[in-house]
Parts: sequence; C-alpha cells; structure tokens
Amino acid sequence: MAKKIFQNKTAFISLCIILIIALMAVFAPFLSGYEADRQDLLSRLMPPGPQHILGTDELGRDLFTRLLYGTRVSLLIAIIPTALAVLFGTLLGVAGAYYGRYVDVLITWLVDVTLAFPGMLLAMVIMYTFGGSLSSVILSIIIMECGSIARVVRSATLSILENEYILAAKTMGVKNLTIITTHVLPHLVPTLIVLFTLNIPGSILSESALSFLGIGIQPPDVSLGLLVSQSKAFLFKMPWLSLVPSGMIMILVLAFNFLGDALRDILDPKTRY
Amino acid sequence: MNEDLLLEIKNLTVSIQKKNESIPIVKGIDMDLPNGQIVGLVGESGCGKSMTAKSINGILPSVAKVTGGSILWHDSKDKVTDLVTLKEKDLRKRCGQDIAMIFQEPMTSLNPMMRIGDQIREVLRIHKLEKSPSQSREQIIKMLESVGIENPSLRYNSWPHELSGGMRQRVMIAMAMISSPKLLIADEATTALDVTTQAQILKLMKSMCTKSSMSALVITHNMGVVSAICDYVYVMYLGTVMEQAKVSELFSNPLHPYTRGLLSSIPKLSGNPEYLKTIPGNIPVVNKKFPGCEFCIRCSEDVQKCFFENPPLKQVGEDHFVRCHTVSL
Repeated sequence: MAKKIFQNKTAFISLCIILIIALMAVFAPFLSGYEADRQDLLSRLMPPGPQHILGTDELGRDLFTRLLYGTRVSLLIAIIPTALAVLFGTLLGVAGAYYGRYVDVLITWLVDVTLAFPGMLLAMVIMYTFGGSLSSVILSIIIMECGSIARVVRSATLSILENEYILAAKTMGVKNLTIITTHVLPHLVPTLIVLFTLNIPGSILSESALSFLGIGIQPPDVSLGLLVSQSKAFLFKMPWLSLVPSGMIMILVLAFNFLGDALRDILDPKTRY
Repeated sequence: MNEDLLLEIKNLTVSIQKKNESIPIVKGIDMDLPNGQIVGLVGESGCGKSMTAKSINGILPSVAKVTGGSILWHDSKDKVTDLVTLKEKDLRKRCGQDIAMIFQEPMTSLNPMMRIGDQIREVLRIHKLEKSPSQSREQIIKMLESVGIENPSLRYNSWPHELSGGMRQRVMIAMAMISSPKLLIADEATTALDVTTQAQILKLMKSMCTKSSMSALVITHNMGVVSAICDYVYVMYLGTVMEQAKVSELFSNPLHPYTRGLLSSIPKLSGNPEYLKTIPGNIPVVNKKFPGCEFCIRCSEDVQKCFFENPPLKQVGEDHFVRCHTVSL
C-alpha cells in the first residue's frame, strides 16, 4: 500500500502537504519566537514585514504564531473526533448489520434521527448545554458524523456477510464476536480508512464554523475558525488577517479531500489487480 | 431400518415467513442417518434439500424457520437431543465439533484475508482442541496431506487466492475434518468443480468417511454423484420425499415417475446425441395449495386420482419407500 501511495501523485502530494503542515504545527514553539497570546500593544495591526512575517492583529499578537497554534487545534479536531466517530459508527453499523432484527431497527432509527437533525443546530444545543470548550466541540462533531459513517459501515458489512465464508465459519461453530473480529472487521479496514480521511475535512470545517460563530473554541485558545472570526472586522483594511487562516483551512480541507479520494482509488479491490 | 442411528429427522417442516403468510418449503420429511453411512439427498433446484440441511445446523436464512418436527441427534444409545429446540449458542458449539459442513462454492467459502493454516487452526482453537501451536500446526499439515494437498507445509502459509478451486475444496474438507466430526454435510460440494476434480473430491470424501467411520449427508442434483459415493438415497420434490431406497435398489428398480425421469435425463453416450431427454415442465409455484400429488402436472403417467389425493409414502421393499399412486405393492 505504501508503494501505491508513492506512485499515486495526488495521494503523495496531498500527504506531503498534510505532513508539512502537521510538522509545522507540532514544532510551533521552535518556528516562531513569539507566544500565541502575548500582546504587544505598541505594534498593533502591523502589515507583514521582517519582524512579524504575517503581521500582527489588533492586540499586537503575531499572526504567524497564532496561525501555527490554531492549526494545532484544528488538526486535533480533525483527527480525534473523526477517529472516535469512525469507531462508534463502526460499532453501530456492524452491530446493526450483523445482529439484524430489532438491534438493526433501533440503530437505523437512531442514525436516521441524527441525520435528520441539522448538524449546526445540534452542535449549538450541545454548546449551550455543556458550554463552549474543546470537549463539547469534539462531542458535537462525533454526533454529527457518526450517523453517516454508521450507515456506510452497515451496508458494507451487509455485503461482507453475504460471503459464504461467514456461513462456513458459523457451521464450524465460530462465535458471533469472533466472526465479527476475524472475518468481518479486516474486510472493513479499507472502507474505514477512506471514511476517516474523507470525514476529516468535514470536522475541520465544522470546528471552524462553530468557532467563527463564537460557540466553538473560546479565547484565549486559538483555532483557525476563531482567527477568521476575530479578524473579520478588518477584512477590507487588512485582508491578510482573515485570508491567511482561511487559506490554511482551505489547504487542509483540500489536502485531506484529495488524499481520501486517492486512497479510495488505491484501496478499491476492483482496481487492485 | 438400521438400529444404529446418528441423526433422525422426524416430520420436519421449514417455512418461509412472509408478512402474514408462511409458505412451506420443506413439508414434513422423515429421514434417517445411520452411523458411518453416506446418505444422498437428490432433487431439482428449489426442492428444499439445502433448507433441510441448513436446518440441521441452524443456519437457515432469517426469513425461513423450522415450523414443525424434530431433528434428533443420538449422542449415545439412550441420549437423544433435539437440535431444533436447542439454543443457538449450544447448537453453535456442536457445529464444527459434531457436525461439519462444506459448501458449493469453494471460491467464496474461505476468508480471502486469512492464511489457509490459520483458518483451519481457528476451528481447533474454538473447540479448544489446541494443545500447543506447534502441535496443531503439525496436526493441520498432516490433515492437509491426507486430503491430498501436495507440499502441505508450504501450503499452510498460502492465501486462498493462491489455490485452485479443487484445492480450496480440499482445504474446506480438511477444515471440516480437523475436529473429527460425526456428521459431514456436503451441500452441493462438487457442483462448482470440473468433472475430474469432482471425481477426486468424491473419492476423498468417501475414503474420509470410511477411515473415520463418519456419516455424511450429501446434497446434490447429480445422480452420478449419488451412484459414486452414497449408500442410501432420498429423492425430494417440492419439499417432500418422493422415493427412498438403497442406491443399488434405486438405480436398478426406480419406481416413482420422477426418479425414473431423473435417471433417464442423465445424458448417455449411446443413442441419439442430438436429443437430450428432460422432465417436461417446471417446478410449480411453491405457495399454491394443491390437494393432489405435487408431481402430477409433470408426470408421465396419467392417473386421475393423482389430481385429487396426495399419495402416502408406501413401503415396497426392504428399505424402499415410494410416494406414488401408480405403484402397487
């Protein structure tokens, strides 16, 4: 698989972009001499220059530093809730498909309910109930994404269960749980990898939207959405303040989208041979 | 019949459950499986032979259900268990240990993501027959060798896609045999194989049965398979047993028109090669209720009584039963 990723240009380039951004975010303290929330009121709203590569905001904070720290939060949001959503979605989807009957009815009904609910509205409800914080953002993103993942996993599992080796395993006396872990889950892995990468952009965008609306990440924490939100007042005078974090969101989302698409092609068994 | 029974199917009824009706697929069949014998179950597609087999080890599709009768498993002379009333968990425990099954399609009945050896070892592990990894590896290699796989220690680490259809079916047999079951159910096990491989697999199954004194239930629509390995045979049509007899008796003295039709439909090298003899008509719609003999519409005999009255299963000889009005004692 690693070889195929190197051969596929889209996959390789998008993976490189993601890795570079991730490394920059991880090593943020070494890349910039400033602190993300350190105010310098004498150098407010400075344009990009030698001292501040991307300029400063209305409180004189270094935008480049804030961008790196914001990317940290956004990447965290991209990976943790998506991974958890894939985990729960897989549990629900496999359980529904395998056990069928009322388990399936109940799970499908639950999934339909979460899908019918507007995601943003649901997120707002959670924010107002638990307060705006990183963990409530994560919780709301999990709930938003879990449903569609469960639905995809359920149908993928149903098609795996059609295979005769599942029936054969049953006649050999294999327990249900063992059938799921050894004969169903390994076949789901390609689907799950693609689902994971394709849901990451959604998570990034949801976090940005929530933070932009002021109900996501709260200052003094930084996130890309929050940066866009805070600098929107200066959109016409100092456009870079909002364009740079927006550009970062766009690059991340596009890179993950392209990576997911390429992985889907790479992992599709029909194109394997 | 034989006193030494392993499995006894009594008046088994399997129905497909629809919203407000239930359509019987297997209509009260009786079947005896003696110890150490190979019993054949023959019939056209859709006559309920697979359903009968699947109800033994409880893998009926979710729409079908056993609605009557019993499947009695003779643990010993005095101890009898009804597999129909057994809980799913207990039945699953028996599967693989007492009852093993091989399927029609060897291409899909192995998990493509597991090595051959690991897949066979799974059976040992589940039934707690594994003593030590190296010992079970040896045991599996020996089993692979005995089902005729060349270079078994190399094949132990093969993936299913590296094997041909015949070899996969051998692996399936090895997997079924590893726990030394008492009953082997072969559901059209040789249908997907070419004729040469089919003959080899049949020979293998027969020798496995005699070697370990195992019983087998062979489901097929191929009379050739029946004559090759079976001791006793049941001919099924639309969920009922039409005729049952010892194989030699059935082939030399077929009494039911349906059995005769099946036997004469076997293509022969002599005679007119342009003309392939068939049984006229198709299997009628299952859910139609009909008072008479179910075969009468396609029957070569023309007896009025058949349209109004379903004939009972009559004994015509030693171990030979027929369900037909035209046969007199």
